[in-house]
Amino acid sequence: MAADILYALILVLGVPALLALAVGWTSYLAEMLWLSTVRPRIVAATVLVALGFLSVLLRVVFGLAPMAPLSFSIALILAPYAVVPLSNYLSYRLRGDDDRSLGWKDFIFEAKRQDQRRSYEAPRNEQ
Amino acid sequence: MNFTIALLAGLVLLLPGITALVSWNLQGATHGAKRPELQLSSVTALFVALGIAIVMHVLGYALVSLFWAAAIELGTHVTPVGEIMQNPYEMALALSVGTSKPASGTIETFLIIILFECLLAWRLIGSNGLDIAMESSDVRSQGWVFQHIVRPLRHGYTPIAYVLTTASHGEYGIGYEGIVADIRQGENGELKSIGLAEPQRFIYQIVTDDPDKPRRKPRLATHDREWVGGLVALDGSVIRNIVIHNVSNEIVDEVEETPPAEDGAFETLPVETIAAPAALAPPKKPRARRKPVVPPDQPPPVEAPES
Repeated sequence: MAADILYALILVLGVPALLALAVGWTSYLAEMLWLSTVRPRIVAATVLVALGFLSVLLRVVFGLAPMAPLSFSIALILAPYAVVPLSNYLSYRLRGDDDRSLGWKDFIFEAKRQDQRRSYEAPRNEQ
Repeated sequence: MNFTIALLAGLVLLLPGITALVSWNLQGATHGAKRPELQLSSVTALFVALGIAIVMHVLGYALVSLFWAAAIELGTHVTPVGEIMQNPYEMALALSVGTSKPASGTIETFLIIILFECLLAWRLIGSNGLDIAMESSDVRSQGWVFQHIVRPLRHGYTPIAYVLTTASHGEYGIGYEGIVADIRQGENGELKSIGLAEPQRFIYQIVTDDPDKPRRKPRLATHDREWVGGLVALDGSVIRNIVIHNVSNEIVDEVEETPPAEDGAFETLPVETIAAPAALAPPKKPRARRKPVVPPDQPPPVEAPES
């Protein structure tokens, strides 16, 4: 009986939680992949920094070997959550004062969209 | 493997690609400008679906292999709950060539992985990133609708259409002016219908200024403008031609904030001809008169007392 209740609890709580986690993670991963097409160098740098930092953290806290599958898997799962905001923030800091009004959270996409808008506003024969 | 199972397995393998196509089509459904959906039976769509499915499976296999290796490593740190199951991808391959039978739970795991890949494909196609990357190219083959309606809408402009219809009486015809709310094209890009929000209806006429000189160039005049409100949908067969002007949203907001006239009716814009750009400009606000500049060494002018 207790085992059945535990099983039902896992189903009721675990499945939606895993689903929410999967939705969130895929969303961040997709954003990271598209960000890499817009700002390849910044995103590549932040991926390396995030993976390195997480590997060191896992080594210090749990004693996991840095490039072993377990450590690398955990770092890979957590990396998109760090890379997306970090890339946006770095791009925000590196760009000029003109773009500071956009806010840093979605900075790369917003800045790209603003560039496109400027090009759209150019005379028709220059588009 | 019999034919039915093989077909089902093929569909499951194609599922991430099909999901990407569905996501693409649903994105198109939310746009104001629509063309027929990308059919799976078309060669391009099938190629795209297959390509995305292969990419997703390569990525999935790499991740699953990594996580399986991580699970084996985890077993050295904590006490394992049970035996580790076979890698689902390797199971699927072995099952397809008939070298082994699936272990308990492996098929379910494989299906969950496929669903996860579908989710990733959906997110990739539905992301803002794709929209930004593809912004300058007309990937939906919408042609002039893309250049003059879709792109302006994305960049803070409101497309306003002037539609002349074929409904006519003598030298008069009926036309509409309104914001493009919906426009549909056929498979070859031809106009199927257009929906105008908050439209004005007017009567147009081709007139010559001097009846004694019939060879002089005629012009288009409009009469009896009236607000219709709501939305008017015009079928492609009744449309004679369309002129589209894109007005900055800031100007539209400014016009909307203009209070209506005292009798409750909305102030109509002074439009004389259909294609006149001045028709789109907001009504000019009356400017305050400048005070006459008075040199500092002179006394200000004294107003004459009212009689």
